Amino acid sequence: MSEQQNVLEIRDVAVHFGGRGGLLGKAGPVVKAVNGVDLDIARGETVALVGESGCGKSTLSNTIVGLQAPISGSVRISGEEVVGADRRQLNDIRRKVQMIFQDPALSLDPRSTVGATIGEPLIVRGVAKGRALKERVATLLQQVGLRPEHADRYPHQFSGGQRQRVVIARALALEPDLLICDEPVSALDVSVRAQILNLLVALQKRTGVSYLFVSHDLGVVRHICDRVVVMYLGRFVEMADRDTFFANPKHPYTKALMSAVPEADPQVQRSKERLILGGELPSPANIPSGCAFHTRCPLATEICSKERPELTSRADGARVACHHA
Amino acid sequence: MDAANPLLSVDRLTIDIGGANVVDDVSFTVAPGKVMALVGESGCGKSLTSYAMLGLLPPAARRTAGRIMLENTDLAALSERQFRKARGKDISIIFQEPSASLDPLTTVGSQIAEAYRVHHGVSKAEAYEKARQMLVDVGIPDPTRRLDQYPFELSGGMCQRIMISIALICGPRVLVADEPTTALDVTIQAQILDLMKKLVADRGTAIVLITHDMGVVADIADDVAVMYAGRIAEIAPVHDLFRQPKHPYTALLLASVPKLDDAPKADLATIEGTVPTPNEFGAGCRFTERCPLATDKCRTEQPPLFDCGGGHRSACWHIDRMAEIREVAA
Repeated sequence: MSEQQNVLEIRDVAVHFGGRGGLLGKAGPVVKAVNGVDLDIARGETVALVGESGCGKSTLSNTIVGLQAPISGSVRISGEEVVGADRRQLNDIRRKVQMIFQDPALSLDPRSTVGATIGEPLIVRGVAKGRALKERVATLLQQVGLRPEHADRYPHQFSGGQRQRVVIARALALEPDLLICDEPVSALDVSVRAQILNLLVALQKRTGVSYLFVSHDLGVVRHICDRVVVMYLGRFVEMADRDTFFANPKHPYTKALMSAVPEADPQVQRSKERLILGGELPSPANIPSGCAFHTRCPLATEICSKERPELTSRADGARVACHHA
Repeated sequence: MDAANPLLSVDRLTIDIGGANVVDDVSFTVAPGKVMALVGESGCGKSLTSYAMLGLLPPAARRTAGRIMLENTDLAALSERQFRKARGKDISIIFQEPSASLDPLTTVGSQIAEAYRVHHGVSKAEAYEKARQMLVDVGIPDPTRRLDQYPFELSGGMCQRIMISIALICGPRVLVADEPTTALDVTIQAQILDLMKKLVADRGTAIVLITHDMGVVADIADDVAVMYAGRIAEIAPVHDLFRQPKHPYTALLLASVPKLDDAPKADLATIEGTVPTPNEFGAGCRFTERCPLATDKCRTEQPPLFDCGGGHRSACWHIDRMAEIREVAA
């Protein structure tokens, strides 16, 4: 693989649920979870995917690892097509992409030692066994800041932060190109969060792994990411590199998100301009016409309910889907 | 802090579980219309402290010392029977997960009305009218229709507004809010925090806010008590605490939150190690093992809460060495 090749290339992906064979044979509503999404992630890059519950970010993550089939579009991981791949091909592709979740306690088998947990992907793939396996597990434990002797312990003997380290070690066992991190620090205590964020940064520097970092915490996103993508009701509404994004957010939804996340500084927090959105996220089974955000948007005009704005490039390189931004 | 005229004062509260003081000598006061935040990590005792105020301690937990004075009543000394009269009317609580606190089989209108009828001998119709007004106050559109809906028909943010309605319908003077926005999306969190600010201002309710989110504290709190392993490490008016923390734990906690002006991907300050479990509590300061300033004295002697002036108090032997922490954190 060449250095320039993107680790992830998503083209025009749409994922819909339901619609046929509902209760009593009636067609149910179609939930359009993801619609017309394009995204590239380069080697060693960290892209943040930001949005609220129901915006489609988890569906998109699942689609990338091949757990969810899209109705259209293409997903390539290190050049290999995920969509339409058969089981064997998918198996090969999945070595290159791994996923970690919010709550490490739910991601670990309570009855397996962490050594067995971290070693399992290596055994399944036939990468290592016996002594070599033990050594590899020890190295992985050290890479994530644990000790080799921890291999014999069970998940309940670890704190939340240590468990997340175990989860990360397992995800890295097969040296993936892309790691999808779904809210990896949200369930952790504040003092432990910083440790895990530092670890993710250090691992990236060492291995060149790329991250798709799903999060709602813009403080964390600003710290760890190179590029930010904002998703609302299944579509990207803004994408920009980190500095542009935070210096000059453009989409009204992005601005609302930034205004809603409280800054850990009372002076800044209490003097900042507030843009509190009315209402709630509409159901993805019943997406508003035109721009999906127009029902909550302070800038909305007539055109917004009629015509859906496309993502267009701006002078500073940001891409925004808004008639008025 | 309006120490002269507190509505609620927790005085040297100590709670024991299995022989360990999981809440140890905790004192603070809250004035009407003020928000006192109890901040800390899991296991620091912030939730137990608040449950004690409502007589909701788990069976294994026992209050061994201290008082919780709501004006002239010691809540900690109430019988369960007396507590039933006080809860809802004098002091209420809302929890993190509203959908887990609401009865899924009962309409929200009947749940709000019930809270009112328990304390007031009024007709159902009258209680429903009260409930409807309450929904207007918490900003729920189309309240008449909402009253007849069940919790599953409402979003998380709506359910939390219903919880707040139930908690406030009898006009309690104190509201305990245990991580009230942790389960909500950020734009909804902003709505709920604004609602709480408005209620405090309009009704003069005193709020005890339990949270681990420094951003929420910065947004809404008047005073902050930082708890660590069952004790208050530091207590101060909110601006003083953020501007000039006087306990190493607070300073490191604040430094570990990514800031606007941080360089991207730079190392964040961390607190090494983990919170001690109750059976690891030593004789000295409970933060010793993780503290960059720790000396022998810290290991053997528990620091009292030193008064630093202006309502700012810190339980640290080395307040004069805080500049060193700022170096570590920078």
